[in-house]
Amino acid sequence: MIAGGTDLMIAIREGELRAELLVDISRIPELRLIREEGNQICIGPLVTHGELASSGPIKKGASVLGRAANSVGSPQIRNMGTIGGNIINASPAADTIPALVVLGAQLVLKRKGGERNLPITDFCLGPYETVIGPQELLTEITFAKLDNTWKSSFIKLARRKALAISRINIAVLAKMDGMRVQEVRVSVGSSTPAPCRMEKAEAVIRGAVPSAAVIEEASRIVAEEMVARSGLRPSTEYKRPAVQGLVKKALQEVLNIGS
Amino acid sequence: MALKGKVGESIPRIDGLNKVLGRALFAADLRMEGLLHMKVLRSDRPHARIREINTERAAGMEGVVRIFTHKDIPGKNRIGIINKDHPVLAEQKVRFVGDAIALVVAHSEREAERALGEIRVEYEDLHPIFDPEEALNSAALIHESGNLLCQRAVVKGDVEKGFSEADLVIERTYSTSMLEHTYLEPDAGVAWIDEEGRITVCASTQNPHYDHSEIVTSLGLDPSKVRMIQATTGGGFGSKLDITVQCFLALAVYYLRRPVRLVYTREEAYLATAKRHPLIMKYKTGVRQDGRIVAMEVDILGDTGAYGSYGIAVAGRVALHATGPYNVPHVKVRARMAYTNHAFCGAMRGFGIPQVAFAHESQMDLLAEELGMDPFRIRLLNAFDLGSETATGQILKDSVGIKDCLLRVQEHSKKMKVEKAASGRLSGRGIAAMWYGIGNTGMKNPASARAELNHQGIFTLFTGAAEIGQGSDTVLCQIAASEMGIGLEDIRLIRGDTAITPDAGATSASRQTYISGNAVREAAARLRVMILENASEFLDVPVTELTIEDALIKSIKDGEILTSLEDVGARCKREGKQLIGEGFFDPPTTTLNPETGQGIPYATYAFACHMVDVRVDPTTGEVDVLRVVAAHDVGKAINPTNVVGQIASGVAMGIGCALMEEFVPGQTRSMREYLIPTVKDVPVIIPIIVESPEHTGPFGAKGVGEPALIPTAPAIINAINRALGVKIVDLPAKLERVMKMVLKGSGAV
Repeated sequence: MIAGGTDLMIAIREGELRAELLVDISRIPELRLIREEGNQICIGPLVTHGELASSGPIKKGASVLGRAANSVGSPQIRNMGTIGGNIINASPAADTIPALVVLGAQLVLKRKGGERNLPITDFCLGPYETVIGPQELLTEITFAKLDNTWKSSFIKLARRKALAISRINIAVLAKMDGMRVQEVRVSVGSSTPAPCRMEKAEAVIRGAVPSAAVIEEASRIVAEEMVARSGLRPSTEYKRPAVQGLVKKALQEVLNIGS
Repeated sequence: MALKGKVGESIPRIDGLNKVLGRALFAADLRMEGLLHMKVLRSDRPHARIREINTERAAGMEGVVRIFTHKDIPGKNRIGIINKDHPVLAEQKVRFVGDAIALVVAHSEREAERALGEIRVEYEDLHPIFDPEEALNSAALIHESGNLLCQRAVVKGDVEKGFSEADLVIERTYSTSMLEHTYLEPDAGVAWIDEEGRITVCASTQNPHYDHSEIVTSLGLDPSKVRMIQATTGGGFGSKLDITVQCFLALAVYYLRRPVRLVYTREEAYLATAKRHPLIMKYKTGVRQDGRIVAMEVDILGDTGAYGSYGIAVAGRVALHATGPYNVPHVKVRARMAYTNHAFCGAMRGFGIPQVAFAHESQMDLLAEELGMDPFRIRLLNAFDLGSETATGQILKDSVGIKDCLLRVQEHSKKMKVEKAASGRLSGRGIAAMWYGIGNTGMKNPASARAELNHQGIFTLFTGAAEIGQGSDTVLCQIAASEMGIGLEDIRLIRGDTAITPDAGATSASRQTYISGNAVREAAARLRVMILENASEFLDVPVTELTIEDALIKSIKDGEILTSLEDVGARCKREGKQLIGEGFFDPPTTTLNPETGQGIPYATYAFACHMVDVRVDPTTGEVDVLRVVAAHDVGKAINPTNVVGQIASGVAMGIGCALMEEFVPGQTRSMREYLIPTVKDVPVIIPIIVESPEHTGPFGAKGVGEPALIPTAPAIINAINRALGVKIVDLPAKLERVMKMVLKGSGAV
């Protein structure tokens, strides 16, 4: 199955993947729509990163995803690469995945004679590994629209300013209830084997009055959670403080706390 | 009417439009009837003896025309620009992952590729060496001659005495990474038998006449039986000074007598071509309390990889440039190159000087800081002047623009405040200076050129100087136009064809403007005299009263138009005369004393100073280069826009060297792993052209191609060091490395 081909063609060319036949699904217009259904946003898997980044409904109801899509590769890659491809390829460094995780995205997988719905965190098992079956096609990505009481942040860290694979990417959403944080969601990409929410850290912030100390503590916990999930690696020496620093920055942005 | 294209005018590049419109034909674009395709089998072992190469099965595959191994090479199977240690096709041994073993020629690329997989090579693995220090102490030999490729030294004064006079001595060890040129166009060529029966190779190259000589040697042919043509070349940065596709293609055509094409993939260009030498540089610098340098001791060890390529030249250059553009009375430098089983390292923009500049400019900043001196001041205090004596005892007699460069940048520094960094980030400003000898080191490196006026009055310039995107075609035509008194549009340029153009040597060492420029100028001047003498004869006007202006022959006295070039051409046709001017230039240098390096290695030097502002994020190690001010003493800008273009490209490349570029053998396969700066990584560049005329240069010109790159990375590192209060000694300053320095600085590590 080929859509944009920005990952697939490279894998084939490098001999990592062999395919006798490819089914090109890139010209199925029904799978290339962004729809609003009540308070839901439904995105077809063939919507490109470029389309996501410039979509009105996304900017309004899920700006974190628009920013993530806009950080992918280069204009050429954003014009070819699709959100479906980004999910199915399941690279740990995929930019849209942390955004979809904090949005609580559900995926619709269809096969002949059936379909199933599952959250994105259940879909991705590990690096480049998902639960999709050989007969299944990802047909829709859905999540609840965010109203303007939500604040969001997406930060991408890479070795250069464009056309680079994420070293770390972070998506954060938060919503206040008066003085206290009513809801917060944090996901860190390129840092854990499978995409996930940083629940321990979220718990520290949820219900709290935002402060520098809370943010500091939550950021530290995120870094710890990352290490707990991915184990100590040669990159940990760098990633632990960098993740902590970036999460802090993202939380400061959404909770409106100056550094 | 003033004709366009005189020296000093910023005219558009003459090759620009065709390239922008996609009309220029690169080697990979060339198509011919009956064209065959070649692929190269390369070693997947770093160091191994070859027991057997079995091509039987592959030869029988569909579409395969023939397979070649070292046994098919009729001439000498050893090439190399300086020391001939590189087999065209491996014989007994392979020395790095990527060594060429066999060539498959087939009807299509695909068939050739398939057949590669069916060639069986039986290896006996040998102990691989990847560390230059280990190589020098190992009994395992990569080449029979030993693992030390060469050693170069510079000795001046008495370094021990110098250090005893010093008030402050700073010692540091610096290291740099292997780099890949990443020119836009991967190596490519097509070869065929031309109408005169010559084996003709048209390929992407920086040195067509050298290529010609290697093809001749490897085929054991008379030079007249081989022709090398430079195809339109999409960048080289030094890598296309080595033989890549040329000998492979010529070998196939030698046997097959049919056109053959070979185009490297990006991965193959990464795997099989030269890299920048990673250097380990031990620096010890002594200064007096007043900031004057009294002594410098430098020991440099480089990894030259599997073959010599330009390793010897790089060793020589780094030894000679190790002091930087500064007066140092007592100097002792040793530079060595060791063979390893890494990809071979060769020429890359700057020939080792970007590496040593990182070291000597870091030292300058350290010294300044310890002495509590301004970084400009310590450099101005020590910088060369007219009459200064270099470490090799050369007296600089002309065009020493280093202080001008420093002062011009300092003016900017005073005007522009260091931007206050946004929350959590740190700002810093750094400067770095450099010098760079134009042309090859302490040896003959001439260029020739020829100018003709045909019987229709059309002017043709012949040069062997390879245009690789740097702008030599335009610059040489501007020199010819100015000298001849004609316009650029009146010039027909024939370039880079060994059957018809005179040898101009390599497009390397920032030498073509200076050396070929002089040759072109002399050729044009001689032709001009010839034209005027002929005109004088038939006009019956003394030659001293004639001149060529606006492509017309005029009276010097009153500017009256007396005749045209066309008339002179027609006249010469009737009289059976040819109007040909030849030019030649070899920069005045001397050979160097092998023990002390004393002598005149270069006729002239380029100088530069860059200033960089950075913003560093201490939480991630990210560095934003905010602004670069780049002053370059080029002698004379033949085409100022082109000089600015060179500066901008040098700065962009320097940002890569400073922050992200790192070729890891065995890991870096293509541009996915190897990052070079994008337009978003390159900030505002403020170029400053300093013209301190070099009187042996054409119209006072020197060169700028390599100098443009050299100060950027050291200035960036100095800026980061100032922002963070750290001292980075290894390049590149990638995220992890900067972060480590931050943590070290804060006492966390």
